[in-house]
Amino acid sequence: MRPNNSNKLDAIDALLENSWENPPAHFEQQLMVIPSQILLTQNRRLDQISLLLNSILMLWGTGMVLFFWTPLNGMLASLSQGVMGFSALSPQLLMHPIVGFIALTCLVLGWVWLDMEKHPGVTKI
Amino acid sequence: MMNMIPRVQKEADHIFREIVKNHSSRIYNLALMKCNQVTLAEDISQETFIRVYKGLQNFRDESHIGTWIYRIALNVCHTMIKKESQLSSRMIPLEDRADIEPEELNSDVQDIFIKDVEKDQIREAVSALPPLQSDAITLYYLKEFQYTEVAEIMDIPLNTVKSHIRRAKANLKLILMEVYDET
Repeated sequence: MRPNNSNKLDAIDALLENSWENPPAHFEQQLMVIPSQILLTQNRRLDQISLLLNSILMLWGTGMVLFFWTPLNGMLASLSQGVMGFSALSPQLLMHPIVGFIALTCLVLGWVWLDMEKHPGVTKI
Repeated sequence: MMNMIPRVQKEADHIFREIVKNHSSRIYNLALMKCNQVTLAEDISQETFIRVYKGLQNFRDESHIGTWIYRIALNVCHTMIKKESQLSSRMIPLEDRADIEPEELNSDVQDIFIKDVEKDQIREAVSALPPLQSDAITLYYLKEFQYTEVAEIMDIPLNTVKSHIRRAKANLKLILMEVYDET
């Protein structure tokens, strides 16, 4: 309960005391069904099918990359050779200013995102 | 091991129901005081309880469950009110009038006038306060916490909480007097 040092209520205290609103009807019932709704969402069959289909798609994608790796590698190498003057697999890539800029941008955006997502209530769990 | 999961789930559901029974009205009023919109207050309450439920299964520090819930509620309030971007357009411009002490405004005549202000105007005034003052006075008004717990929820020192509440009351008095003068 509120500490006893507010024994002399002023006008603001009285106003705040009287500004209490009862929640709408069925509000509590709406909140009570949250667990079943969350479980329902987690166990949806559609999600399981989607997961299976996505796994197949990823396997297929990986297979395609492996199968066409040699021509793909050649294409990437010639492309990067044309654009930057050296191979995309060369260590020189790390020193390229554009690569540095992209890495720095990702780092800064990552910090901003982490800061925005930081949630004292949740981090305490 | 297979039987453990439903049991833990069942316990979490039971605790969650108790939390809803004990705190739903307060969380709703906290949200309503912060945003002064019934629909948004309902959304904030719902989002708060969703986060509480999701975090409940991993929560161990039961002695601090109250402060944990209200900390989540405050964070959800901040995030959702910001997202709605409605608060800024409705806000009465107010500087943090730190130089004014509450005692200077504590006249009985003003108190009599202020008593005529509507609930809606009170909430409008609270939502127009600087965020920390608004948080402090709202948590204080819920009558659930001691100053120390408000400090814990807001993650600021005890004396700062007291100061924010004092200044919030002084600022509220100023805003409400202006509201009364306009009507």
